[in-house]
Amino acid sequence: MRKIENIYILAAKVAKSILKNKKVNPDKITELFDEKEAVEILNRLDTIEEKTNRQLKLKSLKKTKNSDWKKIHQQVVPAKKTIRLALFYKVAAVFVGVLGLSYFLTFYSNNNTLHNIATNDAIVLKLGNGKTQIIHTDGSSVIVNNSGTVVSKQIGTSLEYVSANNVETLIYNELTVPFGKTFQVLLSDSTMVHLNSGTTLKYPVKFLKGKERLVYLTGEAYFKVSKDKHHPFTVVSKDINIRVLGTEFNVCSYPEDFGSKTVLVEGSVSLYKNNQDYSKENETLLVPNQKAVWSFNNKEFIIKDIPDTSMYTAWMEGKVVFKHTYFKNIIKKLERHYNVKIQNNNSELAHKKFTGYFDNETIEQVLKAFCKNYKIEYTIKNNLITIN
Amino acid sequence: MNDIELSKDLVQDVFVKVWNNKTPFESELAIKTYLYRSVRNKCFDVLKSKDFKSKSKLTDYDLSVIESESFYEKEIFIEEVSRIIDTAVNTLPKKCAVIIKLSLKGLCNTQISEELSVSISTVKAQKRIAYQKLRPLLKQSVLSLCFCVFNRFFY
Repeated sequence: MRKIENIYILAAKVAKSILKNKKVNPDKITELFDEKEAVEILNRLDTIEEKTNRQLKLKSLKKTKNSDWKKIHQQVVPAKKTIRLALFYKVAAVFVGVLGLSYFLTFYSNNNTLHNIATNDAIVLKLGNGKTQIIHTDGSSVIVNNSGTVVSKQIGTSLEYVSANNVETLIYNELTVPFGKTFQVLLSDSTMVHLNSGTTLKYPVKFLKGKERLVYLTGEAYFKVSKDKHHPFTVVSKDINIRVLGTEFNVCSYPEDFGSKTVLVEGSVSLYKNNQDYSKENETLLVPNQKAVWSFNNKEFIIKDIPDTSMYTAWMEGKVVFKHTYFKNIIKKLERHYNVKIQNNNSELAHKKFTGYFDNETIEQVLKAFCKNYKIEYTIKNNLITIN
Repeated sequence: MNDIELSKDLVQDVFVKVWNNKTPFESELAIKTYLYRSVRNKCFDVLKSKDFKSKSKLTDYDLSVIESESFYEKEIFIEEVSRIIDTAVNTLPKKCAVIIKLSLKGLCNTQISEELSVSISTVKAQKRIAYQKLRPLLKQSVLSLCFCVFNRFFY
């Protein structure tokens, strides 16, 4: 328990005794303060001079109370507006909910291949107490815990956890990045994580001493793990765990894909199945410039050498890169990158392989590029692209 | 700082900043702690500024004393106790409040009755009413605090 909280509790108890005209037990106070301070505290709570002084101050504050609040009021965001907005949002949310439901129902009834789509357009941080907070990448904010300490700071597209906070229990935060956005987190052990679109990462606010560093990933992320021999860093993803001591690697594990890919850039990592404990016998080791492909169906690893890892990390610079990739898999990448839904009715096209990369092109330019190589027809309706 | 206007400005600054930033807090307790801490830090920004130093008689030693953690904790403790007592007394009906205030000053029942020229039984009766009214309030404050702190272990 933090000292400040003990102070609040003790203060409430002491106030109670004083109001009841009971003598305050000095032993209680010396539990938190040294003797000299305890004497001073009791004296000051008891002397008439101190009390009248306080009363005078309070009186003078009261005089200007209204005008002071008015001053503050001018400086803060007008409250009336937010109330009206809140109401507006509530009404709007119900409306959108009804609309969304009807849309979903009609959409679902004539389309069975609909997959999970991140419906929210905002980056969401779920705090340890279950509350969620929306992160605005054009602003900054701080996250404060129960005891009033700042645990993390967010500036633009990055969130930094402070290592010097005195958290002593494992408290998890969960960050969800929607389609069309990317984000960065600096964890408390100064491990840097880049999160790609449509990704959720769960991690402790602070890694505890003597315990393994565990994080949970769904989606794609690039990890730059800080070296710590005594605390192995493990990424838990669908079916497999990735265990490292301090390296750089990219993990791509979207549940809607056929499998996950782990690409090692530097150092070494070992992979093992989720349902096993880590041991030297059941690990699969990767060396730099290798990738491990895990198939969700076959439940096995395929290790491949890759001459150039930059293709797998290019998403951090906002690029979409694919090499000899089936069109049906490219679609998934595009959906995540551009936050659109793509409905492909052309099964022949789905099994064609393409190689290419896009930088800051719009989705329309991307589709036009495909048109040039392969005759396709498409329609764009809001966020839904249909290819015939 | 001994300057009520300057102090007011500091507190206002902190409040406005927290409000406009829409800082998320896990509980009321967190807000309180954060505000206490922020105001304190803000005060030291002023106290340590060259402008203020040239005017004040504070020595570096004084500064180091008031900057210590134990000083901060002690002041918070005294403030918290006084604040709870003040708010508690202020919730009482006027007659009750006057008697409780005198009683808090250390006057015994007879002295209070003489001071206010009422009978001793009136003083006793009013005190009883006061304690009855205060009981749920105080119980609540201790309980809710414990609850807040206790809650943290689950997160």
